[in-house]
Amino acid sequence: MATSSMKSTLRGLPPGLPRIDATTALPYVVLVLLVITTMALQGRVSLDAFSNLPDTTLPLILVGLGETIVILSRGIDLSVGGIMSLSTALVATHVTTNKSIVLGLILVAAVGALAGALNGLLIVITGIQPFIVTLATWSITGGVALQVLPTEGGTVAPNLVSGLSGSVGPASKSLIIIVTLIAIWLYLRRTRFGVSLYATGSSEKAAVLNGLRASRVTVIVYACSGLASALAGIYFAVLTSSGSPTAGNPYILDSIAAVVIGGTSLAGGRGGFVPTVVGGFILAAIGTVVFYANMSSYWSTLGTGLILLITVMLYGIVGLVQSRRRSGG
Amino acid sequence: MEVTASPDVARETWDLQLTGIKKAFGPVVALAGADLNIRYGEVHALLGENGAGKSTLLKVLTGVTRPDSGHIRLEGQELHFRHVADTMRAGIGTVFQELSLIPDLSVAANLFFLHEDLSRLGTISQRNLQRRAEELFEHLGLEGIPVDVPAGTLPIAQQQLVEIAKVLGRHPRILLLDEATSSLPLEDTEWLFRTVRSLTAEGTAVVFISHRMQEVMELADRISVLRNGVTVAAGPRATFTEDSLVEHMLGQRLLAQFPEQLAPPTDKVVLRVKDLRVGRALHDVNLEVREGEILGIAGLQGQGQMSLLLSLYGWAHAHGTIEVDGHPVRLHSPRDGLRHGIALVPEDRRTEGLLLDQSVRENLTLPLLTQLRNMVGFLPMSRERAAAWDVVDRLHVRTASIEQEVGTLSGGNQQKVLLGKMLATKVRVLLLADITRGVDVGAKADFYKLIQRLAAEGKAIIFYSTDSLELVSFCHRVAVMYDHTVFAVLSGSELTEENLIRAYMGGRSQPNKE
Amino acid sequence: MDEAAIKTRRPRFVLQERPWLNRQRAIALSYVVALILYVVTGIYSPGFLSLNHLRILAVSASILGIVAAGQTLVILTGGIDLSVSSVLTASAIVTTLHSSSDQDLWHVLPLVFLMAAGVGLINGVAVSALHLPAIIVTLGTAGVLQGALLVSTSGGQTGAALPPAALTYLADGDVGPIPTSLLCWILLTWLVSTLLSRMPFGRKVYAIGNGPIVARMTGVNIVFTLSVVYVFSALCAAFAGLLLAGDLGTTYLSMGDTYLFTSISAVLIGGASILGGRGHYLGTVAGVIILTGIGGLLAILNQGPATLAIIYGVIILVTVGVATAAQRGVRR
Repeated sequence: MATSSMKSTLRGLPPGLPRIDATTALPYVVLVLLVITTMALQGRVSLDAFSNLPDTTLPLILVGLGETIVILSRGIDLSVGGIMSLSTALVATHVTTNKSIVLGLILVAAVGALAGALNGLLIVITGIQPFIVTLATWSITGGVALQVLPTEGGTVAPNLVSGLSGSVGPASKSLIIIVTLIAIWLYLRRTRFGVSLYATGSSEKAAVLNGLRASRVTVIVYACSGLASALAGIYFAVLTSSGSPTAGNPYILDSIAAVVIGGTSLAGGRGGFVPTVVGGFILAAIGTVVFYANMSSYWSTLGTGLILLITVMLYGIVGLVQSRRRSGG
Repeated sequence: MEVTASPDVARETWDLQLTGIKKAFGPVVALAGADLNIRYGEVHALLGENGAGKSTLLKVLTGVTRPDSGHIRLEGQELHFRHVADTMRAGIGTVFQELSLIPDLSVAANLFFLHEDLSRLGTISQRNLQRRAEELFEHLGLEGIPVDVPAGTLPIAQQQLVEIAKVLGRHPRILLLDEATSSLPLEDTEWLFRTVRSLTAEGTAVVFISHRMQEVMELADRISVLRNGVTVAAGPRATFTEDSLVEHMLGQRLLAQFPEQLAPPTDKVVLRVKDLRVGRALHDVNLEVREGEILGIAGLQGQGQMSLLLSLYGWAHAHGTIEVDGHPVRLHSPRDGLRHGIALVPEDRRTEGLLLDQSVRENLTLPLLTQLRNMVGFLPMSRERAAAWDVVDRLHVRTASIEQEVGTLSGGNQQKVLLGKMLATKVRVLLLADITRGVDVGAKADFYKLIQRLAAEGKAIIFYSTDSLELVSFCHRVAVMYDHTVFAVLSGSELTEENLIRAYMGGRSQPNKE
Repeated sequence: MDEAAIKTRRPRFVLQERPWLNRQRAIALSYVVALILYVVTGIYSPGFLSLNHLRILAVSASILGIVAAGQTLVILTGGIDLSVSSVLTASAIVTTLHSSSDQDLWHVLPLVFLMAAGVGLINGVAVSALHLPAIIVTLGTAGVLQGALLVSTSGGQTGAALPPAALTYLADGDVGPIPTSLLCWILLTWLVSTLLSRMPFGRKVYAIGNGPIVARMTGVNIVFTLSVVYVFSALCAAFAGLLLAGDLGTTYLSMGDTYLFTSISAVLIGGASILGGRGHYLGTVAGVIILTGIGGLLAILNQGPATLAIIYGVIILVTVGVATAAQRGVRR
């Protein structure tokens, strides 16, 4: 039909369609290339260079999980930066001693989830575009973060830091957390909520005609994102053992980049969390390559931008070719 | 004939009753007190012009729209629907005109969306869904539809079948079909009719909206006609004829549906196409269209019709030769097409033809911007308005003002705006993609007159249509597409509906028995 | 349907026939809000409305307004330009690094604008010809540009150069009573507004924002139009960078950062839809005036960046919320 041949989209895999094509393989290929390049630069075949990759990428992957869920529903969440900053600030000012760490963390996570739910409610009730709502709440949560912690500093409870960093046996704790997150996602994906998520992103109109309560899905989706951002903020505080009121800002665009590099479509309905993890690893691997190539770290920003442009253009070209091949009649 | 209210309301009992439904969207009144009385086991057809309120009434029944006033009673109990889920729970199943399939989910997932079998952990098994899907298709007698592909990749006809299967799988007590046959080829339409009849035999009520009079007369047990948001007639099918139905719909007699005599075309060839090829979608097409000729394009879905039209306009890239008035032209984009006097009126006016949020004027002047601007490069409003009013007058577009948002016009009027927009440019070749589909009888007659006038002015017209009667009555010749090429060109006495349908499937014409 | 029976009226002037009046009403409302804001603040703190202070605000607003001009056009087409801050910073730094005197500007400036145009062209072509989402493309070009800047200045460690006098005059000088940067902004406002309201190009911009498929079907050259729009946005950002460098008297790597958020906010507060097809630059101008005023107000109240950020967010929600609610009342 004429209309379907007029659009081109990024590819991904909603549940139930186990098909591997060029676009789902792409991020993996890029990651492998980067790993091989690092090994070549290093001069030996080992993954040593990536030993602390899980640690450094965990905040990005957490934010990326939330962002993936939101983007799958055809939304976008810019407030992840503010919520993450707020969470870091709260940890550094209120979870400072070893007393009631767990309670403190639960409260911080709750704040994040509530802020996210508020996003969802605003979107549903006012009908304002998610881009605008989350842009505004990013500003607001960022402002609150600055109120809580005006400058970098604060302390993080030592037991929390030791509890979440380091390794358990041969695997670093952050790697275990990442694997757990993937497992949780693989389960979620196959629940009715998961299918509703993909359905909302693919065509909310059609989903509603089939009886879906779209408002409920929206609120839950943004609450998940808020929760994930809060967790990312907690881990960031653990990583740096201090707080920063603007910690989350770089993660907004980085998380969106990780999602897109992984192949999830900004139009919703296609993609998943695992490609986002690969995207996050790619972003980190760029830094590693730059390091071992003895180039100044400033090349990472350049490299990230280039990889983003190139992968997205490749997706676009593949999409155009595929739709042209399919057009007929 | 005079307008009468439903005569049988007071005396009989009904299983589903809508009474006095009113609904207004801002200043636009869609329903002004409509009634509908449904009985289980009956097929009830709902007729009316575009804008008469049929779709709105159906949307009220499906919970998509909430009425401003009126009553809905199911088996005597008053109901208030707040969500689509409420109507589904009440046993109402709807096959929507705009399909409600979720494009990125698999066919199987679509069929049982929100009705999946959940494991103890709350997960959904794709294998289970696929098995259930195959069972459902088998039970319904549907073959050849894959269950594990994204629903959006199926051809439209198959999507419509999946949509119908989905609703049937929920075992509704009341089935609503909104233009469900519009995208279906003949054999699938017959399947649907068989299925509808077996459903009513089992006691299901079926309400269907259609513009195809033959379908209505063949299938319906009872008919209701809406006009201007009110039910003007309702009763058993036997009390109506095709003519009386049309009269109820329009409020007056329609003298002739098709224009009397088509003037023959001249000998001058306006458009010549040689060895046209578009990827795998179209090959070996050779055509000539003369001044004043209306050439029909026909065929089953997906045989290359739209590829042909799109490539003649410049939207799709084609190999081969295209000549306009003897000069070969290279068409890389619609701009090229327009520059050479070729205009296309696309299939889907809402997403391909009109900017619904913009005014009539803005839509109409979009292709004329370069012509309308003055020497300094500005766009004088007076020129714009003049051009817009010119089209509105010539085509009798019913709109209060040219500043009205096009999205608020009725379907037929929107189509007129679309047609008018493309006509405003200097056109030699007019490509019309199924422009009368989903357009009510009255507006259709307007279109036929208009196109005939355009042909008389010397334009060459290529008229793609999915309505065989229309093709036979209205075109000089008809090119039938089969297997992605022009299979046969029928004209004169050979041009009959039977020969057309035979050609659709690749058969040769039979001589017309006199 | 009898041809003679349907007579279409041709009224001379009907209020409903001028929906642009309604749109103008929304924009006029924004200006009223801005006026009230300034007057109230002026009453509370008389120094606010002093000529000196207004002058400072005017220069500040002009720079933002120029960036927002490009952003307005991009958003009207349904896109977004996340590279404006990088282009702004890059133009400022490259110009000042390579121009020690006014003479140098003659050959440096064309190259800087060429560079900006190049970035805009990449953005425009990627979005229109390759159908890539604008948010990602401009994010990518921003990253590449930012990265190139980082590399070539070694993270800003090569000292900030002084901008040549001409730039300082451009930013801070006066033409009669009016600051030159304000004059530039006024000129640009007239240009962009006329383009949008009264020229074919503007109509094509709106058409693409409302329906790119329909626009293409009707013969609009999407690639050309979008390329021009993104190039224009980059050129605006580049020019704003020159002004900012002149105004600040120095350059630094994060000088353009705030302009990304505030330019988008100004466009949205001005009533444009993020999806494209709806809005006008005159609305953006009101948004710029309001944002600049709030910044000044909070400075007087001695409120730090935290309060500023919260207030910005609330303003966006309220203004866009009101606009959305008003539209929904009119439509279905």
